[in-house]
Amino acid sequence: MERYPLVVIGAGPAGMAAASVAAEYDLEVLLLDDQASPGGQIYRNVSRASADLRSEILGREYYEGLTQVDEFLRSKINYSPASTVWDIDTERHVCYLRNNRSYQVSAEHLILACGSQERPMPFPGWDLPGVMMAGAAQILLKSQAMLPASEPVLAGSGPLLLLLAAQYLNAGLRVQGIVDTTPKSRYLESIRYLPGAMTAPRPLFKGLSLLKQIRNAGIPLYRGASNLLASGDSQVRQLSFHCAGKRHRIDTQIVLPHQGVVPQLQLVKLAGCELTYLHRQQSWSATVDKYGEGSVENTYIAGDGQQINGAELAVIAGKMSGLQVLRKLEKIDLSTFERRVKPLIKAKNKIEKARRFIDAIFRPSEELNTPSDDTMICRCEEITAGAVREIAKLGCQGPNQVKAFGRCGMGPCQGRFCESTVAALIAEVQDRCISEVGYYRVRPPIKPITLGQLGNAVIES
Amino acid sequence: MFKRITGTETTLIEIFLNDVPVMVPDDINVGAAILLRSSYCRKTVVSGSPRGPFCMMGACFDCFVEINGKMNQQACLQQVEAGMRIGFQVGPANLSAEETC
Amino acid sequence: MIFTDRAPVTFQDALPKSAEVVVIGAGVIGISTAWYLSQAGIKVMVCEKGRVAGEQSSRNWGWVRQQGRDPAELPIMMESNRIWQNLSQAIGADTGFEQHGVMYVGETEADEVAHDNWMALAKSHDLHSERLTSAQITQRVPGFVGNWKSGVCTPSDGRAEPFVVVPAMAKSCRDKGVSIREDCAVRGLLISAGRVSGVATEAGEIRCKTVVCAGGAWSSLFAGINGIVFPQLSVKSTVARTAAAPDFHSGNFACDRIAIRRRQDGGYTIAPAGFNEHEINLDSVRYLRDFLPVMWQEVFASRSLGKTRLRIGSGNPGGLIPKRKVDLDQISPFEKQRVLNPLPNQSTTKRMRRYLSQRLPALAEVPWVEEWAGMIDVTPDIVPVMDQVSEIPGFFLASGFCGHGFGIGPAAGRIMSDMIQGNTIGHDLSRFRFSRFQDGSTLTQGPTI
Repeated sequence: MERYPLVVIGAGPAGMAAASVAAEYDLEVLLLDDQASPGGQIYRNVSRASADLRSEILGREYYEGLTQVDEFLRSKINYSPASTVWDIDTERHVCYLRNNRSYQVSAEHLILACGSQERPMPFPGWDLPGVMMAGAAQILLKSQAMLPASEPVLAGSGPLLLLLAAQYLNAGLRVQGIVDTTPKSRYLESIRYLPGAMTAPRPLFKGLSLLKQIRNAGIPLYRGASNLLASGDSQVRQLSFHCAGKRHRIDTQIVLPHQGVVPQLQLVKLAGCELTYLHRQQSWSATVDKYGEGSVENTYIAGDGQQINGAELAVIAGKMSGLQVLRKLEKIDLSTFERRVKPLIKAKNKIEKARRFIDAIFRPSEELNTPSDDTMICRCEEITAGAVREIAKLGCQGPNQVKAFGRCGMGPCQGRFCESTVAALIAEVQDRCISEVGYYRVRPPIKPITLGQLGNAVIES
Repeated sequence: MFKRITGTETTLIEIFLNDVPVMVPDDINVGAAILLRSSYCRKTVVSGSPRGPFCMMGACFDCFVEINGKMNQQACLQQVEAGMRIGFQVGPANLSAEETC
Repeated sequence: MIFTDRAPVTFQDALPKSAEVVVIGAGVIGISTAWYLSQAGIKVMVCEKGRVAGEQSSRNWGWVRQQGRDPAELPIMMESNRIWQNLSQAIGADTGFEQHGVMYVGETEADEVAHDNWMALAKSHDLHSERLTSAQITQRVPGFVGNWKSGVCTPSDGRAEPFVVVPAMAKSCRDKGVSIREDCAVRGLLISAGRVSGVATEAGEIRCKTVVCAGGAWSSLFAGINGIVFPQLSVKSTVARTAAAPDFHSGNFACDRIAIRRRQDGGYTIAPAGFNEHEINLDSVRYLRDFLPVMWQEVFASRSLGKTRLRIGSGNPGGLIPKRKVDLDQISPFEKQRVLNPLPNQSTTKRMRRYLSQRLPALAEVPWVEEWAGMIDVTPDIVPVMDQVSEIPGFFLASGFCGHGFGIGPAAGRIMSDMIQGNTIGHDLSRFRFSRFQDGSTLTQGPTI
């Protein structure tokens, strides 16, 4: 088995930063990423996107990713794109699939920078064709230069909805409306974090300018919406919702829901690292020390794959983990380490403080966390919220037992799109806290692999 | 359901969607190619209801299709290639031992 | 369509033990020089640290113009124009060269004076050039918005496709027996008895009596490492190309802010006229005295209030602090960054889009498919060096073409080839001598970058 002093998983802002800093001191780094080009989802395709797309449509923050991607591609890193990691164990053996072949490598130090996925947003009809996560629609724009063929409706809460609506406007496409499910109480709740947000105010100003652009374009914004329902026969035809005491109906072929993102923790769980429930983000996060080291020694988790803090902080976290690895391997001395880490910690504290405001204002609504009984929550096995509530009433203690009782979470996505809802439903029925209810265990392989590929695995170097 | 931004520089290639030859840009993935023509790509195992690509980043597995005779392929993670045969998947996959997950 | 160091290596000829001439740099100047040397049956080795035409030779605007040249450059450029007319045939590949003219238009009295001066210069060289009225300008470029006072056009000027020409010429060179090797940096000169005796490359040494440095933006660093002070700095220029668009003018044309060329693929190459950026590094300080006059003109005194923007940066060859001392056994700065690939400046592209929508609303509608930037090698007097460096006999320098090198490249190659062979050159090269930077001569600036 090939052995590397450092293996990084994920070529988003955190992974690229970690690998680049390690390569600065000539550490041999293997970076595995499942996409064809670096950048992660946030800077997806940035090195290949057309000029119009890059600088006119997607906006400045996306364009700035080019600098990091360029620096990353210039550094001496063993970069392996299109490589899907399907297993990791607690000894840091990493199995991945590339070109139809499985490989196994051993890592002395491992940095997991797997980024985030969208928080599931179950509402009746979200499984209809034509309903697609807003993040997915943005990926189609970034990496495939594709726009909805008819005017879509955006629904949910979070900065991405505003950003996507503005990007569509830049590309000459209007959205029919933004159905904002942010409960009105959130504005009041978040006010006390506003001073903190002013310490790193760039996201705030960015949000305001997006809002202005959307208002100027005359796009309707339905604030405090609830009771979403997508209807249609074999394809969505209409989105209806409550807003300001009225039922609204919008005829549309495309509904793009979104309610923030959550860390992708599959690999973190496989690596044996502990998780902490983060109430203010309503999601699990990887438990880490100051430098991103998890509960398993020499395994680090950086960026949004640890907890959601955005790209800017992901770069800092990636660098800090990279530096800590360098220090442990004695590639840098303590004074160099401290000199380089000090400004990073300072910047980190500032951004974290500002983040509280975003967390508070965009905390998902209770209704979407614990949807009505007829809402399908497990897309793979087609299990409704009502069925999970029934099982929870029987006294199932956690998501794993619910899975065994009713197949919820047993499909190919391994619970990626129902885990948080199932836990919230159990907590609701049994009047417990989600942090006690727990999370799904994961089992390798976490991505499909055939017996043929497994049989051909390259284990010896 | 989706369309390419006008003026995007591209070369068209021929692929087969449910045995029908269609021309698609050569630089997109299978999921995107399907979305140019259709809003769904499979019918579910349990209830047989239609589903389309949902997350576009390999997390949701709702874009399972048959590619060149191999079933259960995530459409959003594979680039199109000339002559590629893509089939919508209806119900459970027929898997040979070679392909078993 | 830019080449970076991630592009596959296409030229990987074996390193010979010896060669008659080693050319450093496979850009338009180096490849043209090798091409003419090989015509004379001379054994040439071209060493390229990155990729053939990886930098400015493929990233330039693709203009082949005589119009607006420095008086000393003009006769050389006229020769080059004649070479271009037969180049496709000579190298057996389509260069995309077409003669649709180059047109400059202006709105001010200063433009009128400049155009008068050009007409006089063209006349003195028997070069046919036309003076255009406002009506003629709008007739030639329909929809071109401006209060045009005057315009000039040289019909024999043309355009070619930069990313095609130099690689095609390189292939033709190889057919004639020239060896070309990419990923092969020359780390330094080997000197014995006071003159060139070879070069040390990353792949080994080559014995030779003659070396031509045609390193573009890198020449100053290479000269410096070999103990020669060559005041040359880099400026970054951002360029874009559009998707295919209707052909509303086939020639190249420029007004005060924007320069436009129709491409063979049906799109247009758009560049900011006279707007660049310079990243300040240690070399900027080293050569400050030489560059003060040109900096004054470009940065502070020009009427558009800053044609060249300054900022501190590490994007230049050799980074923020270019090293002058290197060990020939160690990895050199040339290997650390094989192809300069600066990021296009977004505020420049925004500005270009704005000007375009003011000047040519019809073209502003066409999508842009690619933006890129390149590093232009600039000398204190905005004209190149084509000379033998007297301190090191056998060391020839052909560099500092200040963004005018693509069009003049073939003739510059012919000149360098004859200079090396000791033949008559046929042009007065005194303006391009290397010693002008050292002997206290007053430098007269040529036309703008």
